[in-house]
Parts: sequence; structure tokens; C-alpha cells
Amino acid sequence: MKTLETAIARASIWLGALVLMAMMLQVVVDVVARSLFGTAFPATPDIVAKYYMVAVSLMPLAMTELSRRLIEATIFTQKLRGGTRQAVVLLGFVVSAVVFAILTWGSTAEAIKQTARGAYVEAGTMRVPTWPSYWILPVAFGLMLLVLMLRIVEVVTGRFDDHEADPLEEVQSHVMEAK
Amino acid sequence: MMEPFTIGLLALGGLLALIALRVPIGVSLIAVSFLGIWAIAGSRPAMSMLTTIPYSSSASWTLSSIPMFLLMGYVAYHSGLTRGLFEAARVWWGWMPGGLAIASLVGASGFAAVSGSSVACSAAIGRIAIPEMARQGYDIRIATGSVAAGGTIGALIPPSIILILFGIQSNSSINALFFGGLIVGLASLAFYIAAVLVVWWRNPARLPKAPPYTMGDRWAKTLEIWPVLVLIVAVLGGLFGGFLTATEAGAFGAFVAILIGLARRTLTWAGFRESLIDTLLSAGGLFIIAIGANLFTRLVAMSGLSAEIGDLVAGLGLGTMGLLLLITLIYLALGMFLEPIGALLLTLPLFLPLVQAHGVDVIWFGLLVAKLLEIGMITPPVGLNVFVIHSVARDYARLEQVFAGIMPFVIADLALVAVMILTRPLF
Repeated sequence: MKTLETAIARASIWLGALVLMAMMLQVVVDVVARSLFGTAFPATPDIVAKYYMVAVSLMPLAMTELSRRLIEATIFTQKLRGGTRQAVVLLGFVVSAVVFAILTWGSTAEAIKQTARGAYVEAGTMRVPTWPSYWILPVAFGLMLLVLMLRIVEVVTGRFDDHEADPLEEVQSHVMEAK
Repeated sequence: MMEPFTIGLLALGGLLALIALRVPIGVSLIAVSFLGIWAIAGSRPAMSMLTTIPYSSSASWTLSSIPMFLLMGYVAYHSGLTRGLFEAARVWWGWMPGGLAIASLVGASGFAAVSGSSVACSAAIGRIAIPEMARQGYDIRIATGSVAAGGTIGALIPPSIILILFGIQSNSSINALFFGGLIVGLASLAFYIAAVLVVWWRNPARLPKAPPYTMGDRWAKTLEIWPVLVLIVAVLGGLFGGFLTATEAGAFGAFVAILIGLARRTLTWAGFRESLIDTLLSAGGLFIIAIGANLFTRLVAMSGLSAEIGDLVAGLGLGTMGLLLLITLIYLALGMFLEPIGALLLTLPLFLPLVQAHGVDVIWFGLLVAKLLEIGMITPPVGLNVFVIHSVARDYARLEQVFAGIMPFVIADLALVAVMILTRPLF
């Protein structure tokens, strides 16, 4: 099970990191080209919004759960112990899994529809196809669903390590636990 | 068939229950909105919103400034560009009573200009400033309190993630919000410095005098932080000069930070990788809440919840001032339990239409909300900055001491909020 988690974490880190770098470089090239040569990198705002942003905002979801960094209010339940605490943890994962199952299903249907239409945006004189970017959602949501199902199995079999995220982790070197 | 308003109320109750039961905030928002819209309008509209809103809320050019600014802040942090800030502030401000506490506040404000996060800001300055203050015989409460409070300036001085999110949710100008954030951030700094001076005035022994510095020291230390100064000038200059959009300023800033880190050989491969991972993890936690908030906004509109609550508030005969005081109290209470971004996205669908109906300036309201949410970062029982400072200063201070040290700054914050509310008619 850990191997699967590691694979998911690695894949989404690499993909996310590449997209993040590409996004930064393309915007910088666009700014430099515009101010030095008066020409812009074609369709930068559209490509950034429709491709890079969708990937950067949704691809890390599974990894965020793997490092327990989804934002939740722990204050009301932190005193719970034993079975009650397990039940609360399980509830969180089950509700999340149902939500992401619906999201995966809905976004797949939408991606199929947009692909059939060959969705695109007009940027100046050129057409930028946007339909492939719709496929980022089912992949990201699907990975998240997979991680949540692993979590449910972990909780049920008593293997889930329920530690709260240390706020300092956000700014400190942290080796991914799944590594 | 239930009234839409009843469904709206039930959804709101369900939302609060799910959040209290530790279901992630983004997931709670999506679940409740989906069921609520289904109950009001049927399965087809519910399904159609669930399939279109995740894409439309993430595929946004304005929103893309957030990962860029996050990346810039993390690169600056991991490559040590901000390391000299406290030292530089100290040689300039050390002569004042409580000089080291003031220097950590000023240093935090400088860090704020390259980072949008209040937690990173506190941790970076605290790691250097707290041991130094302890060595100089500072009262540990005021030493830790000043750094935890100083961090909250990070979310006000641009770039500010909270202000970008507010701008997108309220359809208002990010630049206007950033400019206002700069002013409120500097005002917070002034109020915090006043708080340090009051503490010193009441008991000078708690803040002993630091050794003096020469002008030579000052210029030498200031020269050491040139990379930060370059970054600040490039990013804020580009933004306010109108050359760069927020996304461009963020991308440019991140790029320049990487170049400086490479040129000074302080940015390692590991540091670079950490910066990318930190950015992605922050983004992952944040955007799912943004999607949920957009769905919830639809539900609030469809159920007439906001109009009904508006009527209710109007029935109370509060007037604009009373409404703002009520909202202030609600945010202070929420800030005690929720982290700022969750609290912001959770409440805006309800509060924005309300205050707009009262003719309150949206930019001004955004600044007030950002300030109030940042107060929540330092108030018990859940004050994220206080926890971070406590983990940084574990060898020096207990958690109660940090919370005690924060009090003068919370009072300063409340005074600033009072000033903001009283001067609102000027905007």
C-alpha cells in the first residue's frame, strides 16, 4: 500500500513541479518579449489559465492528503480518543471519498463532452484548443479518490497514523512521509 | 417540498456540523452545496454546476498569481535571501527602547514584502530574533509575542494571498487591494511599535537596552540584504507602476529570487525542490476550498439565504455601523477556530452582498476582513502564528508565555480596527 502511495506522491510532485516551472518561465518570457521586442508569447494568459492553472491547483490534491495538509478544523474533535476518534476520522474520509467520486464522474463526463465539441478559445488570430485541459480534472480527482480509498482501508484495518500536521512543517524542510 | 430558504438554513447548519466534525473545509462546502442545490433545483442543475465550476474556478488568469507569489516567497525563504533582515533592522532600530522587539517587527514587515504568508514570516524572523532577544535579557513573553504579531503583517503587505482571494471573490481590483494592504500593513507596524513602547514605558527592565551601532555598521548590514531590496523594488514597482499584472509580478519575482539564489550559491537543489513542493501543497489545500466556496455562493444566491439574512439584519435596525461591528465580532470569533483562508471563503458568500447593500466600499471591507482574520492568527485557542513561534522557541518559552506576550499586540490590533471602522466614511 505504501508503494502505491509513494508512486502517487512522486507522480503528482513531478508533474506539478514541471507545470509550475513552465508557468513561471512562460510568463517571464512573455513579459521580457513584450517589453524588449513588443511581441508577446502567443496566448500566454489563455494557456496559463486553462492548462497550467488547472494542473497546479488540482494535481497536488492527492499529495496534499498524503501529507495530511488539507485544511480542516481540528479544535472541536482533538480531545476525542479511541473508537469515537476513529469514527470521526472515518467520517471525514468517507464524505471526502463520496464527494470526489461524484467529482471524478462529473468531470469525466464533462471532458468527454468538451472533447467531442473540440473546445477552444480565440486568442487574437489563433485558436487555442482547450479540450485536452478538461482531462486534467478527472485525473486529479481520480488520484485523490484513490488516496482516500487507501485511507479508508487504513482506518478500518487500524493502520492509519492520525497525526496532526505541524504548522511549522509548512515552512520547514520536510521529507515526504510517503518516500 | 421545502422552501429554498429552509434548505439554505439546513445547508448552513450542515456545513458547520461537518466542519466541526473535522471534514476538510473544501469537501464540506462541496458536499453541502451539491445537496442543497439538488434539493432546490433538482439533480440536473446540481450535477451541471458540479461539473462546470471546478474547471471555471481553477482556470483563472487572476488566480494564477497565487502559485507564483507562493513560489517566490518559498524560494526567498529556502535560499536564505531573507536571513539578514532582522540584523539590518536591528542596526537601524536597536537604539530605541525595546529596540530588538521593534527590529523583529520591522524585519517581519520586510519579509512580508516577498512572502504572502504570515506563518512563514513569523518562523523566519523568530528563528533568528528570539534567541538574540533571550540573550539580551528580554522578557521572553514580549520577545515571542512581538515576532508572532509581526508575522501577521505578512498577510497585509503585498503580495497577500488573502487579498488576492478576496479580490477574486468580490470582483475588485487586486492592485487597489494591494495598495490598501500596504497602508494597513504599515499602520499595523506603527501600532505594534507603539505597543512595544508602552510595554517598555510600564516596565523598562523587561526590555533592556542593546549596544549601540555606528553608521558604518548600518550601511554594511543594509548592503547585505540587497537581494531582498531588489526583489521588493522589482515586484512592488512593477505592480504599482502598472508594468506588470499580479501573475507577471509573481512569476518575475520567483524567477529573480531563483537567479539571486543561484548567483549567491545559497539556493541548493534540495532547497529548490522544497520550494516547489511547498508551493504545490499550499495550492492543493487552497484551491479545493475556492471551488467549494464558488459552489456555496451559488447555493446562497439560489436559496435567498443572503437576502433573508439581510432582511433579518435590517429588522434589527443595526444600521451600517452596527452591521460592521457585528461582522467584526463574527470574524474575531471565527478567527479563534478557523485558519484565515477557510474562514474568508466560507463567509464571503454571506457577508459580501450584505455589506454591499449597505453601500460599504468593497476594497475597504476587504482590508478590514484581512486585518480581522490575521488577528485570529494570534488569538487563543487556535493561533497558528503562536504555535509556530512556540515550536521555533521551544527551548525558551512555554505556550502560555507566548499567548501572554501577544496581549499588548492584540490590544494594538483592536485599536487599529476601531480606527479603521471610525474613519470608514472617509473612503
